[in-house]
Amino acid sequence: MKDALAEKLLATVLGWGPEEVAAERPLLQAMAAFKYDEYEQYSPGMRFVESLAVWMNQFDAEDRPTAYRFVRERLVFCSAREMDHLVATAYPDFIRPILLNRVAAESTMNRFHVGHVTSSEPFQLRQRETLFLGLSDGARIDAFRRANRELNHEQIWQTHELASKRVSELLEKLEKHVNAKAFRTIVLLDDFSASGSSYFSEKNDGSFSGKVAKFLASVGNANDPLHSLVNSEGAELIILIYMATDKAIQYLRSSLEKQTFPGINSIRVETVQLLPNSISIVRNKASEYGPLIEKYYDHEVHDVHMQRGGTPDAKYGYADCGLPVVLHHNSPNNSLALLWSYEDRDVRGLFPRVQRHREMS
Amino acid sequence: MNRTESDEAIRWRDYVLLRNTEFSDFWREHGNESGRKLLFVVGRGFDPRTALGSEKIASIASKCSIDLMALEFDQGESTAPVALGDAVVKNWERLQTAVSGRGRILEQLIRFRSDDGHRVGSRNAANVISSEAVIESYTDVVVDVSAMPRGVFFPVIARLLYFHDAMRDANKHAPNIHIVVSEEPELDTNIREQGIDENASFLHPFEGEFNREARGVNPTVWIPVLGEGRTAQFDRIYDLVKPDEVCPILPSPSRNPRRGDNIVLEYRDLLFDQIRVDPRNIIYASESNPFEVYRQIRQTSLYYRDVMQLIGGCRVSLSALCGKLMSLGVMLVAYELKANHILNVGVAHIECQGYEMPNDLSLNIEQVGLWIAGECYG
Amino acid sequence: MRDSRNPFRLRRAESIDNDTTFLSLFEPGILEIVPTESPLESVHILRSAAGGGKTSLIRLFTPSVLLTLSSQQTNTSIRELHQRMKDIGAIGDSGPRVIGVMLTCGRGYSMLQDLEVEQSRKDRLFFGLLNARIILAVLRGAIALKQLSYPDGLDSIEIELTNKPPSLQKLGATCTGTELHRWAEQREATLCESLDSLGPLQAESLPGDDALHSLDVVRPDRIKVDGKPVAERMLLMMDDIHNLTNHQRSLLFQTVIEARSPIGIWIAERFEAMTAQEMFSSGAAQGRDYGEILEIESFWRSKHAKFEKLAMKGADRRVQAATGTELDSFVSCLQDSLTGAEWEKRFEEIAIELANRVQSQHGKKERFSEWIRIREQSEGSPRERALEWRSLEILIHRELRKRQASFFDDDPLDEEDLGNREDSSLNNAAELFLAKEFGLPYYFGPERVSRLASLNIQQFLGLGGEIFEEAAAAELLRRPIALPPERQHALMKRMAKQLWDEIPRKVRHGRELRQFIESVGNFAHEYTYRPTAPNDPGVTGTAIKMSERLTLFDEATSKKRLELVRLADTLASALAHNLLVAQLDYSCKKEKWMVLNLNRLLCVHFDLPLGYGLYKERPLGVLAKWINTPFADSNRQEGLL
Repeated sequence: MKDALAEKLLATVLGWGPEEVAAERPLLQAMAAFKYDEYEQYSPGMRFVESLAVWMNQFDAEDRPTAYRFVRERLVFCSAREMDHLVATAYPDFIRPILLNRVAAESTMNRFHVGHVTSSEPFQLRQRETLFLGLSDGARIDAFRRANRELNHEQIWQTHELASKRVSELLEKLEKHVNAKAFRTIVLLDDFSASGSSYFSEKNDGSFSGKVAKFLASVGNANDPLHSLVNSEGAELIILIYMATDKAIQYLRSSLEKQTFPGINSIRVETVQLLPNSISIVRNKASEYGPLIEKYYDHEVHDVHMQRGGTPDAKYGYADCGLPVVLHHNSPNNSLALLWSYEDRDVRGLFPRVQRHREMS
Repeated sequence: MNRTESDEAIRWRDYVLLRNTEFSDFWREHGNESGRKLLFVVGRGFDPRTALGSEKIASIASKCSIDLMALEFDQGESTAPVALGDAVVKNWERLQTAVSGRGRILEQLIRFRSDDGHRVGSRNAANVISSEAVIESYTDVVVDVSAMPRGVFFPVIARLLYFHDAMRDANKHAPNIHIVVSEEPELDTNIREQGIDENASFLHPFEGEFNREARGVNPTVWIPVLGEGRTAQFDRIYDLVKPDEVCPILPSPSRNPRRGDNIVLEYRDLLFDQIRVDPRNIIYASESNPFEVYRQIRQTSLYYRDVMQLIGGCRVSLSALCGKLMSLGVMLVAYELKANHILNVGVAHIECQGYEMPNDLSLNIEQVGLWIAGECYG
Repeated sequence: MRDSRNPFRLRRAESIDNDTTFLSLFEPGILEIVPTESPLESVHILRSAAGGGKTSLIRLFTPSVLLTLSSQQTNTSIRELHQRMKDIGAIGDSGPRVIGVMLTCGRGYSMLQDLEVEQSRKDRLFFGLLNARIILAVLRGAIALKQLSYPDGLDSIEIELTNKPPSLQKLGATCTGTELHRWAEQREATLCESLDSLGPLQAESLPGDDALHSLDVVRPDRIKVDGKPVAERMLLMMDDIHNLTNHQRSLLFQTVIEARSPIGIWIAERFEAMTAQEMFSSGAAQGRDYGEILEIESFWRSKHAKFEKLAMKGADRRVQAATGTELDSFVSCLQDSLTGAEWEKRFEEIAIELANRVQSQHGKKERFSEWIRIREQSEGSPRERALEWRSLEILIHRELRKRQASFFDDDPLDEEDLGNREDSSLNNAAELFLAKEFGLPYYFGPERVSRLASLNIQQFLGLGGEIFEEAAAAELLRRPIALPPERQHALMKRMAKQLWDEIPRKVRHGRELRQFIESVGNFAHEYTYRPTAPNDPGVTGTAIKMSERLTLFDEATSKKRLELVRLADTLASALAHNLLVAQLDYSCKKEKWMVLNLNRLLCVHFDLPLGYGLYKERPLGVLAKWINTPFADSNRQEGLL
């Protein structure tokens, strides 16, 4: 749809006169060009302003200004460029300093003397003895590789679910390069987490589920190929999520800290862009946005996956995370249903989510 | 935009950035090593952050000798923007108390204007560190930039780094150079410059190639780091730089994940309607890590240098329209690229008469330390 | 270049990156400010506040723009411009006749003045740097005009060096552009690298010159390509001279004037370059020292109607350049009068209310009974009648005031008396009073909107941009495109408020200045809205005697009285930012005055009329006080009247 047509559509829906159009049009054009048009799940040809008009049109006239204000003031949209930047900064500013401290602690070097430490042989070795694995497609391993030319291709792999052949190849290359037999640090990378439960959660029977739990179990299991990634001295595990809520980070830290895992000496959980709790729209405390969220909702979206979040409905997203967050490639289901609700439902989200029964994050 | 990796060794790839307990741990360990002799360089001002860094380091590094160089600023104005005399006096007392009994106090006056009203502050600021002799007797020089305007701390730190590098290269003893910032993100967001100058200028010693008529044919790239409340400054610096290409830098990651968007909305008219920046030119850099800001700017500058080489080169200008911490990233790139003859970037800047601070802020100040030169870099 | 939704936002010459667009947006009428006498041959000084249009004017004469202009003479949107440039002598039938060289003066020079060396050495360095830069700029201009490639094309340029200056002794009697360029580039690099060094400055061994030798080198007849001069004329446009120190400026002015060089030299600067004293002395007085001075604002001040017409034409060009709109004139965005059934009804109510008021207050006074009768019988439109009643009310107040002063003359007034007392100014005052009293729109229509430009193109584009944005929005919504008066009025009020709010932040001495302007505005407001409408339709500024002006600068420069120093600084800042406009040597009441007029947009903030020329004077001491103690009601404050 042409820009002008979409803008007219929106103005009509919102009942705008020339005054409001003159004030809002430059702003919408700017934000659409800057970010929102790049949402990858819009149906072909659809762009932000048009989607906004369709979205607004679902609401009663008196609710539209509130909905518009929400978009202008609360929406957090992470563009591909922002995400790429978070990826690029992950190693040099988060992982590398950890390795540096570790190496200094294990030697007599002063940890503040970063030049000495990083140019030292133990550090070079330690850097190579670090394995980077993606926890999902979102880990953007390609971007991570491009941003970190000093790391070897053979220490970065897109998935943590490694076949036995892959494990041996990684280890062979490691031995060939630095004559080491196992990795000493394993870094698990992912793009986004709101609750942390898809990585690690405790089932009723006391056992653990989730990607990280599974990975830890494999490392600890002598019959699993992953077991050979570490040796008897064990390794440290770092979980690094490019963007995560405070809630997810706190949850993961506290639940992983309580446990010990064979083969793993320590676990750290870090994030590049922390999403503070304050951005969430909380059930029963949603103030001006509460009525909107309650009123415009199609319970059909509360499918079996959403139900696992333990909430009566999906209004505030999976596990009531209440996030106003949209990622350029898809809206997380932890965000308000109003943002992501599927295109074919009675209430259509502003950034409709594509349902691919991906596990909840 | 594709990025090219630069071959030149990157000086602050690894860095010492100290926050929270790390700041205290560092000064406890480092400051209490025997033989430490510190020089604090601080601004004498009304800013509530004036004395905090010195107080903290002096109390943690409780044994070392400390000299204090207090820079007083003579604005050279017939009108005072804000009457904050009380705060100035109190801060000065606190500074003196913090270092009392630890060493000498040196007071230095920096005149911001010449007799006929021209801005001379930056050059005068650099000349506070007039020779190697000023710093050679210290093991560490600590610049607390909390109460210094950019027009002062850019040249002061650049001069310190220059002498440090010269002494190191001559195999002489070169003191460590540290920077301290008392950071308060709320304050940085809410502080407003008052009485902005009519004209922007290039900050000494970072005029780059902008005053070179011989480089007048080269296209100009401007990389401004954006922050709240500085649209008027942006506008006037734009007039000076007259860029062909603008690459604004927005804060991300950031404590407030919407901050970058809010800044875009604030600069919307300028960015999208007036100068029509291509959204793809927007670059992100961490709000809390000056070394990351440094890397982003460095990479972008060198990318343009390399690409524009095909058409005879370009001129690159930076601007810090942002808080202190991100500004330091700008300073570090400008220094490194110039000192190592990699690229003579300019820093375009605009001065103001003073600041307006919100009164009702409850300050939640954290000291951030940067160790930028010395033993740590081997 | 990306297309622009709102081309009014392209406020700067620089942000229009394409010469064709630049030319199509340039309003040819603006060229009227170019001096008529040998514009391209002698020395001219151009001065204005920020946004006055200097930079656009300079850009018009640069080689790439002249080439584009020559090659597109058939393009209708630039035909007029082409003709005017031809008249000026900048282009001919076969292309540009002048090589226009722009040289921007950065702050770099001013620091030479702070070096710890003797003055003659500083001057040598100043000339040394300037010579190198003039040569570099001219060579670059020649390359551009001849459409040669840079730097290879320098080889095709040949320079005859007659009267070779000392620093060029090593070059032959003729040299190539490459050789000369190399010399100048090295000289510039040596100086700049030292001046901007990371370490302490070593000034001892820096190269310099005794005079501005470069003016001899770059004469048009001595720079040749293929044996022919590059152009008939050379125009050196030195911009941003306000960045020089006072000493350097005087030295430059003196040198270029004394040089009597055949090349044209334009020296452009913003007001802020001037000392407060210079800023408040008349151009004529300075002209004696510096040659022709053209102050853009003053130039247009005397023909503001013309400027306003040009501004509207310029606005049309912007409207036509916008994408996604069918609009083609700016006037079509502005509704020009309060017409229509609703306004008729409103004015009817107002007329009745006013009639009742006049009758109840003055109906019993025999002296006015004839006047009132005439009004009652008026057959004008409701709006006309409302205005008539309001003007009558003013006239009655005037009569009553006269009567207080003198006792005779109590006779009834007749129709002739009324006719004698009515004029357009009174009508304008009545319109203003009506608007204020009944909340009617006043600041609307092409005439007033263009007046609000306050003779500043940049300010006008800001206002026009708001109006255009809303007209384009109306077009999008298929509503009537012309903004109704109340919307125009609201937008102008909003823009005035914005200008007002930004003063402390955007202007040096802004806090004091705003306090001062507030006093001027409130004073003018109070005076304008007196029931007798003295000095109708109202005053928009204040004035001091020229003799007091001298005191101001004597005392201020000798720093004797602090409040006068502050007043001088504050006024200088106001003029630099075009917030106040000064008019000197204005004769009135057998005195000469310095009139300080408010920027027209600030008049909106104080509900003042927009005419030029009316003011109410105050003593110097009162103005100085206004910085600290805002003006309050003059009856109370000064026991006036």
